[in-house]
Formats: sequence, C-alpha cells, structure tokens
Amino acid sequence: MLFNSFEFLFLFLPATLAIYYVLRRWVAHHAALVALTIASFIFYAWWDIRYLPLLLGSIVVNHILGLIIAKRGSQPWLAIGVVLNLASIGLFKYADFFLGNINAVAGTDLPLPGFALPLAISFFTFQQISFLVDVSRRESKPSGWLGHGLFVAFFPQLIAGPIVRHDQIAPQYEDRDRKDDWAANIGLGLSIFTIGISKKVLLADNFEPFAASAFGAAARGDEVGLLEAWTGALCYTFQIFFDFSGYSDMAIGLARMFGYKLPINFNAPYRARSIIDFWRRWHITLSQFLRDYLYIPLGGNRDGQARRAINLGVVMLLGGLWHGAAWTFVFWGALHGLALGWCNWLNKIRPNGLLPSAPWVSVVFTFLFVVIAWVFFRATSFDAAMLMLQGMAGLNGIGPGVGDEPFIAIAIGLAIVWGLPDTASVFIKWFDDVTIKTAGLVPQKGLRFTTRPWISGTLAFLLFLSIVNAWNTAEFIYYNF
Amino acid sequence: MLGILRSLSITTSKPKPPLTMKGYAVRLVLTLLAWLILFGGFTFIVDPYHVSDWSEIPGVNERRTRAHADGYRVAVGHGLVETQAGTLLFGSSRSHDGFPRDIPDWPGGFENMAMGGTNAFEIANAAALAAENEHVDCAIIGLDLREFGDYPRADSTYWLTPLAGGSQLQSQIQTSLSLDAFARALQTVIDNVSGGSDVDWETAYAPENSRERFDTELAKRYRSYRGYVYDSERPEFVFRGIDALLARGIQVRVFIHPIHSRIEEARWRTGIDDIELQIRRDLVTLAAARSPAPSHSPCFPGEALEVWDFAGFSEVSQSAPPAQSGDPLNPWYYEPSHYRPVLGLSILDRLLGEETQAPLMPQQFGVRITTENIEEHWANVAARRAEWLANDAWANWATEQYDALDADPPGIEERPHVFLNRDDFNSLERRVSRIEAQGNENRGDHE
Repeated sequence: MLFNSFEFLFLFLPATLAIYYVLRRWVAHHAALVALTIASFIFYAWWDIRYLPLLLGSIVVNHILGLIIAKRGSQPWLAIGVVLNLASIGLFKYADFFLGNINAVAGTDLPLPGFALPLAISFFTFQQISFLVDVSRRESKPSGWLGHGLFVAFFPQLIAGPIVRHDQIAPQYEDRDRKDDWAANIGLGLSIFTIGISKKVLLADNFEPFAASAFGAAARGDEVGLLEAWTGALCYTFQIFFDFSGYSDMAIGLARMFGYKLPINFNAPYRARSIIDFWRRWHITLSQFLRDYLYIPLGGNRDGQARRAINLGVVMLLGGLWHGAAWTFVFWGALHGLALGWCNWLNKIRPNGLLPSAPWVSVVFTFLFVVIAWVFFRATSFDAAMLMLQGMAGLNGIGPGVGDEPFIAIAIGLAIVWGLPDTASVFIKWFDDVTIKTAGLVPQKGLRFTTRPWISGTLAFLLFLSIVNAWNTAEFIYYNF
Repeated sequence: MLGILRSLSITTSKPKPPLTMKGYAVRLVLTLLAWLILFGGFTFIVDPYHVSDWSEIPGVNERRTRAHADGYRVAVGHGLVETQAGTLLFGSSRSHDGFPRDIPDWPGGFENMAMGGTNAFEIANAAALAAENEHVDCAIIGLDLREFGDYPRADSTYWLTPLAGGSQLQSQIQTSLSLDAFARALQTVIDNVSGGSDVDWETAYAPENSRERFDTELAKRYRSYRGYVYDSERPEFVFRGIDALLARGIQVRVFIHPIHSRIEEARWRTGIDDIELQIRRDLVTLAAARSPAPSHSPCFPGEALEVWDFAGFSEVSQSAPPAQSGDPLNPWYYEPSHYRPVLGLSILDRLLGEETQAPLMPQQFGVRITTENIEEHWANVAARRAEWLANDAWANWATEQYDALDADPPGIEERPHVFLNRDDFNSLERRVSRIEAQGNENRGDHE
C-alpha cells in the first residue's frame, strides 16, 4: 500500500486513526497499541502476505534475544542475534549477488536461489541489530511484546524508515499516561504529511521521466549526448531527493497523527558545503546508524588519520552495499568514502575551507559531486554509468535536443532546494528539543509553519492537488532497498 | 452549517491571527473534504468517460464529444470487466478504427477493445484483465511498431481504469478524483453547452481530406521513424499478459497490422526495417517458447497461440491512393496508417481460414510466422518491396518524396525515452500470478 494510494488515504488511514483514538479514549492504551500493531501487519501483508511470517519471526526472535541479553549479558547472544539478522538479509538480498560473483570469479555454476526481496527487510533488519546492540550496551531495555512489535512494524516507518532506535520510540509506546491532543496530532501530522506527499507526487514523479529517459538509453548501450546526460543526472538528483525526503516527511507526519515522534531524516542535503556535511543532512538516521554501529566499533577516528580513512571507506562501502546488491552501489559508496576522506584531510589543513569567503562555491562543488555519484547509484551497470559519464563529459557531443521541459524542471528543483527551507526547518518550532538535537538540525531561514488560516487553506489545497494527481505515481525509490 | 461555511472562507481583508490547533486541524480537514467533494462530485455526475448509463443529463453530458474519445481507455477498462463477448480485439487505433465495434453474427459475440495510442504496457495489462473475465474464449491482438517503442508506458487516463487495479469501484473513485477526468468533465459540459468539439471520425477520415492524408503522412512518419527506439522488453511484457490468457484456456491470435506500402517504405528508408524484422523474430521466439494447453472454446482453426503478419507489400497495401477529389477513395485505407473495417474483416476471415472478401493472393496477405519461416518470410517481403519499387507508379512518387527527405532530413522528435522498469514487470507479474493461481485452484476444485 503506497501512502499516496486510494486504499491508504481513504480506507486504511482514516479507519486506523479512528480505531486507535476510540480505543485509547474509551478502552485502554494497550488495546489501541494492539490495534495499531495489527494495522501495521495488515499494511505490510498488503504487499505480499508471504513475507509476513518473516517479519513476525524477526520480531519474535529478536525480542527473545533482547530479553536474554538484558538478563544474561551479551555473550554469545548478541553475536547470535547479529548473525541471524545478517543471515536473513544476506539470504534474501545478497545471495544471488555473492553466488553470481563466485561463479564469475571461480568459473563455477552454482545455482542462484533467486529469492524475491522482501519489502523493508533492509530497514527492519538494521533496526533489530541496533536494538540488540543497544540492549547489550545497556543503552536501551527490552520493552514488552507490543512495544517491540511496533518498534519494528509501525507502518509509517516500516517500509523505508526513518531508521528508528529502540530507545527513541519504545518509551513513547510504553507511556500509557500521556495525554492525547488529537487535534494537534492530526493538524500537525497532516500538515507534515502534506508537504511529503506534495514532494512525491507533484515534484519527484515529474522528474522521473527525464531521468528514466537518459538512464534507460544508457542501460541499452546507446550513446547519451551532453544535454540528455546532464538533464538526466540532474533530474534523478532531484527525483531521489523529493522521493525519499517526501517519503520521510510522510512517515513523520503519519506517526505524528497518532501522537508519535519519529526522528528527522533530511535537512536540506543539497545545501551541504562538503560531503561530511552532506551525510549529516541526507538520510540522517542511516548515517547515525552507520556511525554508531559500524564506524565507532571499527575504531572511528581514534587511531589516526589513516585508520580513520580506512574505517570511513569500509563504512561507506557497506553503506553502498546496503542500498542494493550490485557493484554500482558499492562503487557509489566508495566514491562517497573517498570524498569523506578528502574532506577530513582538507578540514585538517584548511579548517575554514578552501574558499571561506565564498561558501556557495563549496555548495555547488559538493552538489556536483553528489550528482555525479548518483549516476552510479541509478545506473543499472558500470557500462551504463560510463555511458552517462561520457555524455556528461561531452565525449558524445551535445546530442539530440531534449526539449524545454527538463530544463524548466531542473530550474524549479534548484529554486526549491536552494531557495526554500526543508520540511524540518519549516516545522522547527513544533519539534521537541531532543528530536532537533539528535538530528543536529541547524534550521534554514525562511518559511515557518503557523496555524494561521491561510496556511491551513494552502496546505488543504496542496493535499487536494496531490490526491487528484496521485493516481499515476510510481513506487518510492527506497522501497527497492 | 454557518460555522463550517465560515471556517472554509479563505479570503480575508486583513491577516487573521493564528488559530488554535484544534481550529486549524478542523479547518484543514474540512477544507480538504470540501475540495474533494466538489471536485469529485462534479466529475462523477458529468461522467466524462461515459462509464455509467444513468448519468445522461440533457444539455450537460448527453452528447458524446471529443472529451469522451480522449478517455476511451477508461471505458475499455470497464468494458473488459463487464463484457460478455467471447472474442475480444486488442490493439491501437489501427484495431480501433480498422474493425467493427462488434460483429453481430460472431459466435459468442465479438467486441473491439482497442485503444488509440496504446502500447505494450496497456495491452499486457488489458490482456491480464480480460483473462479474469470468464466469458472470454478468444483474444485477437493487433500489434505494430508503436507498441514496442520507448513511448510513455501509458496515457494518463490509463491509470483511472480497472486496467490499473482491476477494481471497478476503485476505478470509479479514482476517476472522480482525477485531474484528467475533471478536465474532461469540464470540457464535456462546455462542449454540450456550446455545441462544439464533436467526436467525428468521419472528419478525421473525411473523403475530401483523404488524398491529402495519403500525401502528407509520409513526411510525418519519416520523422517519427527516424527517432524510433525499440524497447526489446516490451514484447516480453505483452507475452506475460498473453500467458494470463493462455493459462485460462483462451485462444490467442497475435497479428501485425497491414499498413500502406507508402508508409511501409518510410520504415525501410529510415533504416528501421531491421527493427521490424527483429520485432517479428522476438514475437515468434516468444510464441515458440510457450506450449499452451488446447483452448477450451477455440474460435479459430489451429493452435492455441499463433502469430500472423499482415504487413508487407501486398496488393492491398500497394493499392492506389484516392483521387484528389476523394472519389474514388482507396477501398482499404482511410489513410496510409489506418485501414478500413472491410480490411479488418478480411484479416478475421484469413485467421478463420476462410476466403477473404478481397481479391487477394493469400500468400501475400496474412502469413502465419514462426521461428522456422521468419527469415524466409522477410526475404519475401524484401523481394516484394523491390518489385513494388521497380514497377509501381505510386512507388516512384513515394521514392521522390523520400529522396527529398533524405537530402534534407527533418529533426528527430524531442521527447523522453521511457523504458519499462522493475515495478512494471512486478505489478504485471503479481496480477498474472494471481490469475494463474486462481486457475489452478479452480482446476483443483473440478478434480
């Protein structure tokens, strides 16, 4: 069920909200949580019920392991838990990739299992690992069954994040005494959701055809001209941002409708002044996960610059692989790892940057690096990526015209990402201090959300426009990871 | 009520102070609902795609206008779910205009379910949806280059039809809450009030314009073929829809449309004859890879799945263009890309193994193509082309036109190239798997 689908907007969401608040008001907090959990399982099973047992199994096994670790300590239960989680994602997501590579290198003919990728497995597996590690570090305590079930399966963030840590959300579920201000929840949640669905429906999906055109041609082995290559790469840059940040906004807004606070996931990433800055603004919860559960355990920056660079490289390679079982993703991660190493070195020798008086130059160069790196992320093969890069370098000539539309779209995209504040900044006054501090949010100047009548009218119209345009939209990009 | 109306008022003379959060939330939700109800209600009542019989309002929507035609695929989507006809025809405007809407004496009933401007994406989904209709015994699918080009996957109205989701109720609501449908509804009302914008195929195919269409179509097609890109995944996509039909024991005939030699020549002159051959190779290879069970109620002699080619340089396609005055007209073609129903009926006759109504040489009009004969067939097509070029007066005229275009070629059309993505395959796969699973269940019940 897509957040912008008919069945979600007009059936699932209103029914779930009504049942949740009725049960909380007139029955019991626990009953409301049970309803929310069941609704989340229905939401997941709507895609493909065959994978529901996998999700349920993951919840049961990890909850039991969490209880054991809390009671008896980490050894060997943490290792068992991490291995089980990695085995499950490895089997479903990476088995074909690894066996295919073994076949290619060793000349063997091992059969590929060809498992379909269960939706959300990358996200809920990471959450489960973070839970086990946090319990072993005594940073979190196992909650009840319901709390754990919702921690993993809460439908707003189940499919594509934000990646939530157990201690961020479980206490919210457990707090049976908190007061529901349903009007504030609905008003604020629906407003954030509106921004998200508008990003997805009105922006991301309108960039998609231009990106698909260029990358599709490259995938077929066709030469891509300068114009098509650059418009394709730039349109994909905007598409993936509006798509994923739109999804995150929708998730945060939906959770807020039920009164729950999810972490901020984006903060104007295309305004970043370096790749270090970029990763503090893009998919923030993934960056923090990689930092806390991979980079720091590897040694972080504690053992000198060389070791730090190696650690960063490993983290980014694995971060790339997390996005998809293909070498193009790994290479995308490697590019970002190298850029992080470069930025760290530069920070050391020039703490104020190369051009401290013209920070916008850093923004533009960072943006261009990100655009080029996205080529490997989006391309279906290295050959296709190289064809795109050849086109962007002008090696295939200007190529056939692409019309005015992609240029207009790119101009709109640039105006939005460089001229308007991101959602988190717009709603900054309505987020709590912990959420802002966790995200390291430094808000951009500009529009701020208030409850003035014209804002409710504008957002209602924006949501209406999104709904009447929502029927021909594509799935979210991050549903594939 | 007054309070609600007051809460909806947006225009103000001076900035209003912030509302309480409760007031804000209520206002937001009510304003949204008001927009949706007004917008959706208008579209629902006007019913621009004419999917409900009850909603004919004199002076508002009773006259079918161009707005209806634009949304024809919405009506087709409903038709595929509701029809009780045993034989369905799929395809583009060539099928739509080249065959009757229905054929009264066709055993089990015949219905033309073609959609103008369609492509592989829509045809595959339409086939999968038709497979869910238990009345369907046979499916005829007309194909050509466009279905396999890298054109957009679907027209915007496609997403409003049950083709998209297979649910009529969902489609009704989607239609009512769609910007496209709203625009069509508005156009319908304006057309009915003003008397303009009729659906009039006879204007498009008016006899007095017929010769002009024959002459001017050359340059248009030449330009579009210059930018043609074959998406080799699209035949596979169509065949996944065909699999759904075959899994239900439905007999399938795939055929390639006959277009006039003048246009056929444009493909050779722009060098996409190789692609034409490749498409045929792909179609017969995909057909050969299937070994369907016999059809439960076959309409045609022969196997459950066959591929036929009616294109090429036949006597029909070489027929003289109409006179400048429009009299006489070309007996087979409205214009060189679209043939008349009399030729469509001849195609059906050929598929039925009967004498066609046209005085044609059977081996030239309609050849069943297979992996065994495809190369020989194409060599025959090339030979007939050479013969046509050497001996036909109209071929000389066409050659002069194409020589001029070769000397000063028009620019290639600027448009995004759209290829099918993983989601497209997955969504079709889900539908077809569901149909196949139901078929297996039903067979299990019978056993």
